[in-house]
Amino acid sequence: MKLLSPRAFYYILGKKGFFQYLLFAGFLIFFYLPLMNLCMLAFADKYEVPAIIPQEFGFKWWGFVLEQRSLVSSISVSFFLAIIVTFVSLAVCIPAAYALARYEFFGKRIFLLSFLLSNAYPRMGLYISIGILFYKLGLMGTLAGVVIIHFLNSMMFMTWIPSGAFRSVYRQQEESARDAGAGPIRTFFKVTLPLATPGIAVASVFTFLSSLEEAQGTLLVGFPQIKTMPVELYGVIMEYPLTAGPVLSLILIIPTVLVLFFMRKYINADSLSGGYGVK
Amino acid sequence: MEKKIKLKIADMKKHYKNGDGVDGINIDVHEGEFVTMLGPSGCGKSTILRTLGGFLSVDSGDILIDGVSVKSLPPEKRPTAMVFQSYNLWPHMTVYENLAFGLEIKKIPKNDIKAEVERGLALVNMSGFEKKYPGQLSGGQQQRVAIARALLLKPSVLLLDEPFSALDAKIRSQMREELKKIQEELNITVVFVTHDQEEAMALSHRIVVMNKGVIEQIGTPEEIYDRPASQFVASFIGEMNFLIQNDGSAMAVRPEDIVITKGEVEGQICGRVRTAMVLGHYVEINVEVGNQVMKAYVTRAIAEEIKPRDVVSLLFTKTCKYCA
Repeated sequence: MKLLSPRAFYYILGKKGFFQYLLFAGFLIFFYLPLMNLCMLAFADKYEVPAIIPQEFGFKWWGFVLEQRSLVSSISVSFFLAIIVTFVSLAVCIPAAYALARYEFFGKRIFLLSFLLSNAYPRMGLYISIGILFYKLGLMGTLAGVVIIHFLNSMMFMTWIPSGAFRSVYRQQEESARDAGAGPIRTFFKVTLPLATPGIAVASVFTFLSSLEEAQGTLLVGFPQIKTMPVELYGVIMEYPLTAGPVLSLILIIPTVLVLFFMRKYINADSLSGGYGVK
Repeated sequence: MEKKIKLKIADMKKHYKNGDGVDGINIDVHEGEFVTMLGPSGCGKSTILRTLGGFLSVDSGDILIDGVSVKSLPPEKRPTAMVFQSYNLWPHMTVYENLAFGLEIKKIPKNDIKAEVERGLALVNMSGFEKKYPGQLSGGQQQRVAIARALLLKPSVLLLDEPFSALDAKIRSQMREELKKIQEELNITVVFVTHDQEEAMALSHRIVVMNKGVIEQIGTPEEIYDRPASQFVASFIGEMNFLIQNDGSAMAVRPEDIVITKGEVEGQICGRVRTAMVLGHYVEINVEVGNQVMKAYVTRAIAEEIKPRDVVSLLFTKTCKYCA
């Protein structure tokens, strides 16, 4: 079989293609191997290290996880929280994104950069100082406190990506609407916002997903009153056998995959690079 | 009989932060008149149009439509409608929704809107396109819809900002003719902006020639072509030969105003033929006069006699003179 010889393969793909292929193969292994292992372990009834293949397969741990009332309630808490966070972020960040896209004002660049600051520090340090503040404000262990923490994490892309989307709406399209008799507010809701929807949808998806998986801040500010899925996962990993964790991990993955699947039309390199202004 | 003044721009000034802008703009546009602002890019013609539409504020002076100052009104309150060069239509709305948008704001009953939209589309030969999205239309069709949308707003003054310059040549001339027809049918007042002098000549009752933020000349196409007020206008509109005189002034003569005779003729300017190019029904002949080149348009019959390197005499039937 000549096709399978690496040399033939190299010349079929060309130099660039060959190394891209290798890189892609490496990426697949790097990315999917742990995932496959996770799937395998989630359906293992009995598994003891150092074996690679579990000794027994079955749904035992699925039953166990789903029977835990606290685990099941954590799922609904997580989704409820993610929805609230997404809406709060939309309400706060969309006007900011529009202002950044359309108006020139003093300190605009610094304002844009300030969104990076929350990512420049070690998260834990930031959360602890926020925690001290929250104690004084009585926000510890409250839903509002956790929403604020999640919102802080999503603020950057929730402002940057929609801002890019607003920038890509042509001014003539807004001006035509004004010309046709629409005031500034009607113009925004009837023309600008619908045209920027794809970018805003992408940002919302990211906000939703990042809220679903946020654990550190929730643990510090919300625990034990607010227990989300990732927070529970910490507990499960520490308290239960090795195979309970993978089950919960898979449950965590499902909404991510679903949301990405339905939004795949909008989520692409274009909308992201547009948002970060790197195109 | 003097026609009613529909739009009056009085001593208008608008300067941008970088120093560009327009100054001392005085234009009266009469009812039913088609006025074109013509000039090279950056001459300020679009600036004026945008101040008329309300998208730019003016620094001083005034803009009156039907005798009422609109200077401080936002675009939505002005009796103007604008068609832009591109991106006029809203891609998330159908053609019908695009056209109905302005009418719905005016709270016109649904049935009337439907009738109006049909009428508007018929006017621009786009009947039956109601359900299409702008993305499904060609560039020319999109501009037709944009014009229809502007007309449905029943503006006192229709503003067009290089509406055809993104289209290819063939469709451009077709659209030009249709616009002219619609304008005459509806007798609407139009202010048109273009950098294409042919377009300006073809469409306008009067042309405002602009350069570097000031008006160089206002006049009918004939006036502007036959009696350019400045050397800039002379060179910008149509083809023009400039023969630099000894006193530094320039004598301007159109290529079609040159009569070429073979050989030397007493009292005429002599030159040597450089090239002769057939451009269809006429021939362009370039003649070297001293160190300058004069361009002349002659008929095919005359051109047959003339070969490159021949000595010829030039008679100017009409000239303009511009001081240095």
